[in-house]
Amino acid sequence: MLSRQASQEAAHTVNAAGRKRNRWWMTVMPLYLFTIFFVALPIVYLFVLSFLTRAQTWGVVNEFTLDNYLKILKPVYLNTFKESFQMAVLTTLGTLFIGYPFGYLMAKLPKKTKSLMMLCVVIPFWTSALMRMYGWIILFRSNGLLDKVLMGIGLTDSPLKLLYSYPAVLVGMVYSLLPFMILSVYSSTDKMDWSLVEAARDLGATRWTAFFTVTIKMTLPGILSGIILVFIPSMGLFFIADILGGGKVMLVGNLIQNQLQSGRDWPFAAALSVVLMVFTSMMIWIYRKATGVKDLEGLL
Amino acid sequence: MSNETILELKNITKSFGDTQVLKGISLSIRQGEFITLLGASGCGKTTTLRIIAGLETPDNGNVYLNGTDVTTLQPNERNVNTVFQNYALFPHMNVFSNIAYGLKLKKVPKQEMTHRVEEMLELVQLAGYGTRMPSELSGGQRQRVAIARAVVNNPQVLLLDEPLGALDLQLRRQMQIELKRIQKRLQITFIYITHDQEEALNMSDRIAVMNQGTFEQIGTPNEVYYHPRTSYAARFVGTANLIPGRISRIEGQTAFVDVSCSAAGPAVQLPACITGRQASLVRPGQAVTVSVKSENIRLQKEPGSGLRLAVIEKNFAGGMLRISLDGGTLGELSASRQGIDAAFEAGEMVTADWEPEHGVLVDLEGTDSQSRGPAAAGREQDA
Repeated sequence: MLSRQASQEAAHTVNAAGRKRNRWWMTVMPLYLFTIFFVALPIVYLFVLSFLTRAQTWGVVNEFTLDNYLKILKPVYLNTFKESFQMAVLTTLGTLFIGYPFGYLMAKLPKKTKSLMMLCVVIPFWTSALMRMYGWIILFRSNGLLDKVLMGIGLTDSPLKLLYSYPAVLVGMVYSLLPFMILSVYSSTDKMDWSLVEAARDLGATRWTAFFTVTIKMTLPGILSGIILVFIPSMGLFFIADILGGGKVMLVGNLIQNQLQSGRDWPFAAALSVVLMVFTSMMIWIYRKATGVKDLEGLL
Repeated sequence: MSNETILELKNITKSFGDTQVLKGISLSIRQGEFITLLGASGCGKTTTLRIIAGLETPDNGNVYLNGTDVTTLQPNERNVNTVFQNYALFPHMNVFSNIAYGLKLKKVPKQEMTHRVEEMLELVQLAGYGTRMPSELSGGQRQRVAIARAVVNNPQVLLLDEPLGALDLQLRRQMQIELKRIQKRLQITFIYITHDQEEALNMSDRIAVMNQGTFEQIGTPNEVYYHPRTSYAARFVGTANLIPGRISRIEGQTAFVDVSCSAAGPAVQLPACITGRQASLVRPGQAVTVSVKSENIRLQKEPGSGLRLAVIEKNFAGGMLRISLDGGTLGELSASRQGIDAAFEAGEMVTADWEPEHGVLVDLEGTDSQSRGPAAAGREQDA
């Protein structure tokens, strides 16, 4: 009798706990559903698609093949990857050299000026990225604004022909990804405990030594998250190379877009995407292993 | 402690925006001295320390280190080290690298560096902790590392900014003793900042009581405690009763002060001593303030020649019995006794007075930084 009562009670508590868990499930369910439908399933679909065969006219045939991946090994495509990687590295370095001092100094501004600067960094996001790229065309084109100014002050005597060149694409990439670097560096500099720098100075470090031995180390998480935030998109961005490169600069992003739209080779585009994804994931992994930084300003 | 001046501040002023934080302070500190800047938060003591360290530049005035003007030198160009309030240990370096930081910058040979760091670890009783990271240490241990990191550089002056503020009471007491031991052993001049009067009285050779950007008084713990020069110093160091009155007559070293506890009531004559320099500053009829430490207030039940006051309450804490008295227009007065028993109950009337030497006339002169130069302060100290 007693034991039955006890077991009933036990069943009761289990039930209560179960109900509690149910309710907990309900709150996180939307998150899981969203992730499954808009992240996981598309990736699975992409993965499956990359092993299928292209149909003669339109769409795909359900026939397993590895040809799509073997095709990537062709020199012409490998070269695109190499060039994209090079562009991504240069873009990342460019944003780092401009963005680090920018973000660092912004964090040291007085509060009022700080929010004004922050606004200036964020405002470009309010307009279309495409429009901002057309802005660069006006600057870069032959006899455009830049040429006129340079020739006007006598630095050059003929148009530079900057538009539709590699440097133009690089400038566009750096320009559009710079805010990510600035904001990452800013957020880690803003959190910085400046008494550490004072301690270093007090112990005999010059401004520069203190910067290199303490400040850089303390803002490393911001630098790394900035690098990741810039590097990954710069591998895949295609419209900048399209608009400012005029078809002369071919990046992986452009390749995928071409295969998808004009080439209509969905499986190959999928294979390229999978390889790009694996490649960037590997880069991040190597980076984290090499630097040992765990906290990336909330990233990863 | 020698008589050689190691550090001298001359008429230092400093403002942040519209607030003047330091109003022309002067101070001279001797080699090997343990001097404490004592004051409430916002009195300018941290700013003073930062100016000595070179982390802040004064608007006016000069800092002399060992006779050389270092006012405009960078922090790394002066042989002064600081123990910061929040320790400011480098979180990305282990204990050894933290302590070795200064030596590395001075390019001390590796073997000597290791030797000196290990010696320091031993001195602060952290031998074997070299490979730990700051995050793996307790508050007290971090404090020791911060001290070692500063002391290892053999500074001419060590600045300590409320180094024990974040520690609990027991640890603080223990660290007080240890700091004093380290200071004695290394013979380094310590400039110590605190708002804790007990800490200041326990450890210092001299105390500089600071208030609103000036020194109220600079003197030995004894002087500051028993002969406060200003009412601020009297109230800040020890519990003092400040009793206003008017001098009725002067007999040798004793001034008799008329004190009354109600506007219309009769005045009672109570004594105060006149110390050397004050003789020329007092005359009969003058309004003065007498400071009497609570433990020096004498109480008796029978009516006598003192103030007749009512006991408000008794309160026992820390081995002392505190008796609050209703002082009428004088405000609340407090007396304290050793032990728990006192023959008075709340509501009872008692007579309060004190020995002539326990009544101290305060606020007769300006504060230390206004009235006297640092040299004078030093001379008085030696006498």
